[in-house]
Amino acid sequence: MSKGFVLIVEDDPDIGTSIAELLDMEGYRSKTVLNGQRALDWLASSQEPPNVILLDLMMPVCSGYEFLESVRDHDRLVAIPVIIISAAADALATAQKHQAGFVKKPLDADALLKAITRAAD
Amino acid sequence: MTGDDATESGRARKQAEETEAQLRGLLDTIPQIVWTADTSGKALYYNQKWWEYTGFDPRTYRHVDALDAVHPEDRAALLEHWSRCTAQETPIEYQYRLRAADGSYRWHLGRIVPVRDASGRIYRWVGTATEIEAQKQSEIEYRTLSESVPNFVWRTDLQGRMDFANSRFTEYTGLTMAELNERGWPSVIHPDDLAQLGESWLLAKRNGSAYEGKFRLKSKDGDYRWMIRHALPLRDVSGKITSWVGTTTDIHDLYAAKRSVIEAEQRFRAVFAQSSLPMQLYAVDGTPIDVNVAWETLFDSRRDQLKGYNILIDPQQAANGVTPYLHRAIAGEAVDVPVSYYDPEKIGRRGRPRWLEATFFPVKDGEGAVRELAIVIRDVTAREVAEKKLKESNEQLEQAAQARQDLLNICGHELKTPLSSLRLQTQTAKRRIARGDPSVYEPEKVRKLVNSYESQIDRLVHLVDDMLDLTRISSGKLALTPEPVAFSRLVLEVLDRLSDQLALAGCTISTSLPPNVIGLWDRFRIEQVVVNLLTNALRYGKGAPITVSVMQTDGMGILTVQDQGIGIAKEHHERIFQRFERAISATEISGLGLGLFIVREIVKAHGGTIRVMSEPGSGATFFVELPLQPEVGPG
Repeated sequence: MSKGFVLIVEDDPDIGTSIAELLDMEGYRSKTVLNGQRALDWLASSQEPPNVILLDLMMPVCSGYEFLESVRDHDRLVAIPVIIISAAADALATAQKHQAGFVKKPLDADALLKAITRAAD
Repeated sequence: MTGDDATESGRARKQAEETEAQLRGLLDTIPQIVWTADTSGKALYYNQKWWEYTGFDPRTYRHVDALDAVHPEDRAALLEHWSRCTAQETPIEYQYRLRAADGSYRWHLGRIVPVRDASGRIYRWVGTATEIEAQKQSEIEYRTLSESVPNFVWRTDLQGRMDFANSRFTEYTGLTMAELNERGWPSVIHPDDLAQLGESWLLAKRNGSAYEGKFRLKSKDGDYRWMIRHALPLRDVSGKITSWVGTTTDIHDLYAAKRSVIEAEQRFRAVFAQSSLPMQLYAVDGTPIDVNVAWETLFDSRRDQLKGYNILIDPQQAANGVTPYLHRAIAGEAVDVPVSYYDPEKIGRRGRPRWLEATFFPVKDGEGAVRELAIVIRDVTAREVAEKKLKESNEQLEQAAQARQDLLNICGHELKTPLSSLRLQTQTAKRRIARGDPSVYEPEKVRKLVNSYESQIDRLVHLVDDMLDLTRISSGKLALTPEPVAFSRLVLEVLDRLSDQLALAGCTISTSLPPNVIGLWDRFRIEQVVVNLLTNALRYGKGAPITVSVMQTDGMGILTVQDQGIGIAKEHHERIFQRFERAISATEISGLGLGLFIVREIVKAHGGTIRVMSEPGSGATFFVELPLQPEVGPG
């Protein structure tokens, strides 16, 4: 039985793969997309909304910031908990602004899993 | 005495008496008064005219009564004339007023002549008095007239001695009529004006014509004032000049005003001409009147080249927003005009474009109406250029500061990315080990993990190298160690090293690598250039074939790397060589964005150039041209 479904929005494939592997081991299902735009596209077409979104901020095409602005007016999407994963200087402030969780890069497995557990509850 | 004698003497007496009676009869008929007196002054005879005029009674008349008939004001002078006359024994003439029978006084001209006997001794005085009332009245009228005018009025004899001047003249000069007559003009005329005045007087005398002259006349206070005098000759009935009459008019204030106007004009001209500030004068309709030398110098133009120009309709003045200031100045206001950029060539004049600051001010007439528009220009080109340079260098400093900040941010992000992977992978493996999960030791899993580790570590090394290179370039310490480098062989070595990656990307490589292209270069740095260009071709090349060629022309080694990938839009051709830039942000490719920046710095340090030819969708070709014998030194 899966603990939940996590959408990983991360432009670095190595990080995306690493997170997916960790989540898989911990009993989560996950989907990785490479930028905010693809995340929006996927959310729009998917039948299964994720329990948590892990969101990188510095990405091409549609950054984490743009993604957050885009979901703001979507009742269905804005309800999904978001955890910002970033090394950006303003990441914490952005998380607070959008009432999102925050885990600093370089990512720590424990910290990440705790944040996901808290957000999914 | 004999009878004959008595007869003779009687006849002679009778003759004398007859003569005297005849004479008296004759004297009684003339219109003048005639009288005789003995040497003591006692009157012996008056003719009929006397009795008729004075109304005196001959029967009761006494000699002293004669003085009664003379106007009391003229008596003293008359007595003085008489005593001088008798003392000098010469005829005299004098004017005095004589009372008529009706009590009125009339002017008379008196003449007294001595009568001498055979021995020459004076034994009688004969006097006449001729009425000159009409003549005197006319003289008085003229004198009064002369007093009524605001000018000095005067008369001189033919020698230039003044025998008449109105009281304005005597009051001004402080000289009496007698003093004027004795000393004449020269004493009150400015020494500098004497010669010129004398010349015009001589000329007038010779021609018998009117003359005029300007000169300075000394007042009784010792001040000189400018005067103008006009003089005319007076002629008798025969046309002979008898005297000169004239007027002298005080033109000092007028002259001074005129002179001050002229001086002001001259002063203005001198300032205008000599000023180092470029100046222009315009009519209020915008047409030019004059420019000064400084203006001509500034614009490398002559004033005549302004012909047909009108500042009010100059489109460049309008475009610079200057025209409204012109209108304000023409309306009477002095205005400072902000800096504007003016290019004379735009209106067909010569001269370099300049940054100009100006002041416009109206030139007004006495009534306050604006007559002209004056423009003073300040060429602030040097200041503006310096300010611009300063601004540019400030911007560069800001950009450098921003670049450093960007570098820190990007380094942070970029370093943390491989570290994130390393950490997560390590922690995941650790968790598996802790749980006793045997899959963690599967050879395939281990190999994958090690490969991933290696890749992340390579990435970290590459990032650190880039950062160090950037630091070196920024501080100008990109040191080169030149050695003979066979260009084609170097490229082959790099291709060999990248063969795995090339195979992975599915790229085929076609090469044209002739031998003997040998340059004196820093092998390590040139290798870096080749690696960078090939890696870019791999990254952006979409797996399509890549062409690499080396050739030599005119002492240059030329490397061409051509891919058939996504291409680069023209507007990005320069940007990609700047730091922290990537060709295209819409990729998953990460890195510091320093690759091409460092490549160009290396090429530049070798005295070479790098350029790109590309269009979106049709691949990119990079050309690197390196001099084979570069003049490179350390650093």
